[in-house]
Amino acid sequence: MVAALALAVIVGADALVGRVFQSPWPRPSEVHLSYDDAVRNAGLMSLGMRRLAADIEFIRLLEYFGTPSERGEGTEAGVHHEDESPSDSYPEFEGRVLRILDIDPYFRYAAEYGAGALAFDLHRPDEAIAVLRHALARDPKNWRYQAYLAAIAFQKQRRAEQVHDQLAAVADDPEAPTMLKHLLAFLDLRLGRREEAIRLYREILSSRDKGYAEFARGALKRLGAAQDPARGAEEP
Amino acid sequence: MERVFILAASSLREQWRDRAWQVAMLFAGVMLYFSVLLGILAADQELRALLDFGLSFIELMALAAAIFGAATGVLREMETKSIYLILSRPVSRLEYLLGRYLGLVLSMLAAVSLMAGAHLILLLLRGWSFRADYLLALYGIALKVAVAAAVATFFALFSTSALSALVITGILWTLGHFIAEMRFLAARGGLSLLPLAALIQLVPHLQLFNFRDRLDIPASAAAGEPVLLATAYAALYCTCCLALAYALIRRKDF
Repeated sequence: MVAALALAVIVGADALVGRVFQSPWPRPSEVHLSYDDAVRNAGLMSLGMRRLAADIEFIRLLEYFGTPSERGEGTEAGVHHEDESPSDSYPEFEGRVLRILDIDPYFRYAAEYGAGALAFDLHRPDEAIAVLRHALARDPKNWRYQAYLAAIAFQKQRRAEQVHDQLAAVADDPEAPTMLKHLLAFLDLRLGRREEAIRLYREILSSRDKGYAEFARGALKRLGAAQDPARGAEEP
Repeated sequence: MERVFILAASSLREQWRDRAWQVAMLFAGVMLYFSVLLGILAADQELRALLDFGLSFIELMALAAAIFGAATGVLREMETKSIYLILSRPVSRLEYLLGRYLGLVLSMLAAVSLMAGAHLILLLLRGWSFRADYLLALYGIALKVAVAAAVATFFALFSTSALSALVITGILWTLGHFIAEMRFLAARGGLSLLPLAALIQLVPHLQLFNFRDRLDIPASAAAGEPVLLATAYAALYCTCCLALAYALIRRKDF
């Protein structure tokens, strides 16, 4: 009697939770992971570790982008080039970013980093737009994605000043990708705004991404601004 | 009730002295420290990686300690006949079961607090700013592990084998995170997947407690965390599992 009652209560409670609790994750029919991706992430997903699975995929993306591409010399991660012809380096980049967003659609940084790298480092704006649309489908009220889309549209029209203005609004956030600040500093220099570029490079110095911090240190030296007035000492 | 607390305190002491539990805590400390390496690889996202890895690892270690304690505790007392000594005193079987379970949950809470303390120190040293939803994530972990311990207690008595109790609880833990996917499969599979559809009705809905996996979800995508629902559901599910365990232990011939 006790056992039957307990089982009935469990069934009832499960049915109630099934009705009331709405999972914020995409339904299985909306996820488009390949077989290999699904197998690789199944372990962590089955333990309810979706965020950790996305983190590990993001680290793999950084490793991929940090390794010189087999296809041409086109782009070196972290270094913005004047040449704006589409690069065929890192052909898997878009797919890898979409994979992260399939696992964790609210991993905002991954979407911004991926779209920024595709649009402004690899000069493949259509792929960047696809990434942003994918992110917007889950998080439609995120104005930052809209700002990126606008910046990419201006980039296509080669309107550097408008690209700068769109990205500047996003870069104020402390969570903004360092790559974006780096790009803004580059645009500032191109637009003759030396002081603004120096300010951004100084911000980049404290980044956790050592590659960008090192690049900013070199850029500050080249600009003759290695000395930080706020600290009154030479940057190490 | 006093007898339940005495048994719980004894169970808690037993857990703390258990060599497996001590090794698990030591391993957790070492792994949390090594997670710094993972954070460095994540560059700008170091703190997110440290946060996610730490919380996930705390949950895994607490789960391992709890289900191991639940699966082996009662069975060991049956094997060593020490259960006779306890039940020969004025202690009912229900009080014994509740005391053991409460002790297990308390030791699990102590373990989670210990690991979370180490994790917080690590995060703060790396420049993390404390956020209140960290505590919510820990609360979700505690609820999940309490449910898993109740399930393991039932299966330990049901199967009278610690290994099968561990395996079955592990499988239910996995399925509990895949209920949406199982419903999707069951809806598509027709009659052949009818047993799966029936199983879904009994598996604990663990995604409900998974606050740590929903830390940065914008308000537009989720209408707040269902804390009350999760608490009530966990309490109900644990009560039912313990009632089932009681139905089994009541029939045992000690």
